[in-house]
Amino acid sequence: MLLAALILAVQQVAVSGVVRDSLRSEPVSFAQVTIRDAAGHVVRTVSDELGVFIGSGLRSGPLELSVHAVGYSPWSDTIAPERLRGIEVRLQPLPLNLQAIDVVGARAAGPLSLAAPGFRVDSALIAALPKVLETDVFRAATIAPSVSANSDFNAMPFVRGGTSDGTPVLLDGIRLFNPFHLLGFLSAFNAEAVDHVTMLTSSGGAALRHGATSGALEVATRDGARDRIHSAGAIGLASGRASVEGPIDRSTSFLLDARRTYIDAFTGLLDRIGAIDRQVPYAFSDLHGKITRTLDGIDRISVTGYRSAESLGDIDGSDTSVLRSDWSNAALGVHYRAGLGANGLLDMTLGRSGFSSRFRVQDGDLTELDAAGEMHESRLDARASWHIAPMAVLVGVEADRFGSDYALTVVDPDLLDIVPNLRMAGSRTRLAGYSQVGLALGSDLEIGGGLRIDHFARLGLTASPSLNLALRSGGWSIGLDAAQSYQALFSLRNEESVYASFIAYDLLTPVEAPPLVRSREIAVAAEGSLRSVGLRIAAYTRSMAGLRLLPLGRAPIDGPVLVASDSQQVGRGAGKGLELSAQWRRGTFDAVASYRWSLDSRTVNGETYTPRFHRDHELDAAFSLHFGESSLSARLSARSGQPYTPLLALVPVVPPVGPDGGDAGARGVVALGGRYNAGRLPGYVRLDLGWQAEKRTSIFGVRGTVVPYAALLNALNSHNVLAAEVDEAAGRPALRYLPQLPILPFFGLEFRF
Amino acid sequence: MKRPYLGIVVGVLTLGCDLVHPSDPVALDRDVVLVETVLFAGSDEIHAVVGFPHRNGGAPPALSLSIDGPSASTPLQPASAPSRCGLLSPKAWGVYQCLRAGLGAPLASGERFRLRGAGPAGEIVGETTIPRAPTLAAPASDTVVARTTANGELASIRLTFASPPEVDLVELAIHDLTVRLANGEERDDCTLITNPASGAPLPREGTVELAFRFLSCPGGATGWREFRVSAQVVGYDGAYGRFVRSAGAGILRQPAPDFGLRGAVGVFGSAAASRRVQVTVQQ
Repeated sequence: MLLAALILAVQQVAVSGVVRDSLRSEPVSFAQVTIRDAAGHVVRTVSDELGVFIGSGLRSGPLELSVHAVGYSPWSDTIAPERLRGIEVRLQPLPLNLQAIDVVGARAAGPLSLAAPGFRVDSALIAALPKVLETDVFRAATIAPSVSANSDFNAMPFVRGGTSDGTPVLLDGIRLFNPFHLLGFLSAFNAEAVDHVTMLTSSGGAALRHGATSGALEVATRDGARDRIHSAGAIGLASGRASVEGPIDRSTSFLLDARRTYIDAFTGLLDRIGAIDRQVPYAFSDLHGKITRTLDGIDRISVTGYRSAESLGDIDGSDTSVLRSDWSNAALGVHYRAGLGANGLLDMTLGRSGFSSRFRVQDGDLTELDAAGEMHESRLDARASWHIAPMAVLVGVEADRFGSDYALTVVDPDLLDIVPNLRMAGSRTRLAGYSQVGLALGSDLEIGGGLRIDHFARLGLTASPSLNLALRSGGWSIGLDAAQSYQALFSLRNEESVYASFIAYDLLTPVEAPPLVRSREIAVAAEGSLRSVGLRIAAYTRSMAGLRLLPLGRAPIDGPVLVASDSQQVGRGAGKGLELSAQWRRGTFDAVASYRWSLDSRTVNGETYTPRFHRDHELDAAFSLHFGESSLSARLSARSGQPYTPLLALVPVVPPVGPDGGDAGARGVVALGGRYNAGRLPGYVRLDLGWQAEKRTSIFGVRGTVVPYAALLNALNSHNVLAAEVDEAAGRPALRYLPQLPILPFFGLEFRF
Repeated sequence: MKRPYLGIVVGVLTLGCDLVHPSDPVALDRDVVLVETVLFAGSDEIHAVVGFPHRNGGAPPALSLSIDGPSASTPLQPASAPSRCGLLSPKAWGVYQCLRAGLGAPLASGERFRLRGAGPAGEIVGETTIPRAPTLAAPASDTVVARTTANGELASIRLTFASPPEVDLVELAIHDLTVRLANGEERDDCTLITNPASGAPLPREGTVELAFRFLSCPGGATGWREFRVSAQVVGYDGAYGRFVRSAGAGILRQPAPDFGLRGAVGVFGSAAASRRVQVTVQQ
């Protein structure tokens, strides 16, 4: 039997190539590739994030190759036996539409990509959604049913009840720390430079190489056009951005993208003409660059560089209190890909990233708060994969070193409500080896398994197995994914604090003593279509151990947003839920919708509670309609209210009457609540509307497009709430809700030449 | 065929908008009953405030409260002088009533008392043991004479004190201000501002500088010759101490701190005051 298999393997041929955009020559990822050999045997696969596809298990002879991808005209051709490697498929782009959230469970892909359940949000969807201040990558990603955002103010995603520290954000394979601006309202990515975002929901499959406990958010940068120099830009309410890209030579392209806010300049102008009292000395900027060189066929090397910075100057300069802060984020990475024989690929990524911050509050000569620190990570990842039908094998190694060093000194007791005094420094080296094997058993059943072995310095070895199964029947596919994972980093954030809803910034620190943070997850998903509606239904359950959590205390919501690690205790968490995503297109109308029901919990110090970020039900839908050069878009979010501690009574502290009488007037109010987070705030509804028009124009003979846009956030002006607080200033003490964002207009102009 | 889909869509939207659970966790329960009383060592009467803090009108709760002491059980009766409850703006606190019980003898440290009664939501039970009083080491005398200073303070004295372990919260108490005006008239309706203020929390033990900062009398009479005021240090038990510290601390989750009371919201605590020091400040 083995001999027969070997003979069969020797008789097989493999075909490999890269799918590119016919105009700009950039890779087209996740294109559906179908190969039919002379014997009628059909192999289906999907181009990877660099547009590369490999099909194996084919009989020698002429091959029929057909490719289709969202947003492109279908392509097909006959491939002669002598040109099976390095085929270049050039797809003709169609006008942009919104159908862009694809389930990358990859039922049409090979066995290995089967192990990558998640959601991909491409640049078309990111661009089509109503622009809330800016086109934003993170906010677009939250349309996936597995992802929740904490609030209107903080777009950091929570994946399937996991922890924010368990979902690393990676830019071209390099981990970024705190990629936010405006405390987390905006992600620090310029959408113009982003090709697509992949939201991995599990720690197995494609996330196996990241070694994180709650999936990963992968941001992929575009390579840059190779046909000619292109420039693009935008002017919005808060910032302006510009990008330039093009060929350096026939095989090399570059992309350079910059964004800067002009909040400081604009408010400075208003200050000078007397329209406002004081300039707001706040600014952020991003610089994002990539150089890609194609070496031979699918062989390539790319260098990604990234830097973002944010600063808040002396916001209260005329008074005695002075606040200054600076944050910056930088990353540099190199990715190399080479073909390994006819059916193998080698990928190597080497990168380093760092985040540093300085925050100071000064009152005269007294420094009330002084915070300074940094996080950095160096990473080397090498993996090789082979596609030998009916099997696919991946082997990889990873080495990374994380370090952090923070000092936070707080003198003002009021500020201690938000941040603690802490001094922490640590590092952790991690070495890992991992492997995945996928096997197609016939045309309808695929099975895959993976194992990751980690060595955490001073903490020992861990083994993280994963399993994937997929069954196709009648146009539907059903898949099962199970995975375990470990990580040795944890967050100092206290997600139960109300400040966590406003501030996304995080400090990570290495685990110094066991246990490590561990996650186990099982998910079952069915995918198919009902009439013209594409559907995906998934159920999952996840358990987490070794979480570092702050014990609840008396009033957890009033706790600080950052806590010292020695005040945290080892706890556990759980999440389970049902997810439904659907997409529908008719003519130029597109709709994407997702819904999730879930139950999340955390347990620490013997107490189990529902975390504040949780919502029982979440419905998110996006619509777009194109007519002529214009398009209208809408995004509707309807969610049940966040968990909240129900209020039982507001009790005045009446001055006691002693033998000498007593004082008059209450001494404040005791707010008595019920069981922690046993209640729910009122439901959340938000409708964002967007309009944009693409006008073709020509400047100095260069043709391009100008896109004016406008958006209305919370068009219904729904009174969504974030929390409630005791208001003692009123004539009678009462609770009042802290609002989320009201109706807000945004507008701007984009241009591309 | 379309109806089942429509039903699913409506169901999902309904659940998503949380229309089936239009909960409002900040809607206050109008039937919550308030009871607050603190027993003072040395006093021969007990005052309590009871009420419905979240109602705008109607009758106060009929609770039939009584205090069980070491030797007798005494019912709390509606007081004839509601202002003694200590509430400056009673309407801000719903519907309330002041209760009083006269005891045959002064309460003493170490004595244990129980509060009992029947409320709308069931039995109301409280228990407290009167703590020993803080001891005042300085001034050594019960009377002190101080003179005004040139740096803006009227005068200041030093209080040195210590508290027994059962005392959880220590506060300063200032009372019985009497002012002799420049024309010889004696007034007891003037206002004195001190630092720390009356009612301010103090450390459990140590020395504090008590400064008398500002004096005003109704009618603008500011010329004064001297004034007398009493100062003492009051020690409260754990129930009242926890109650005071919980004010403004956010929405407390269950299990709530023990305020010495079950069956109603509020506090049942006790206190004991140090000896009094009468301070005479002269120009």
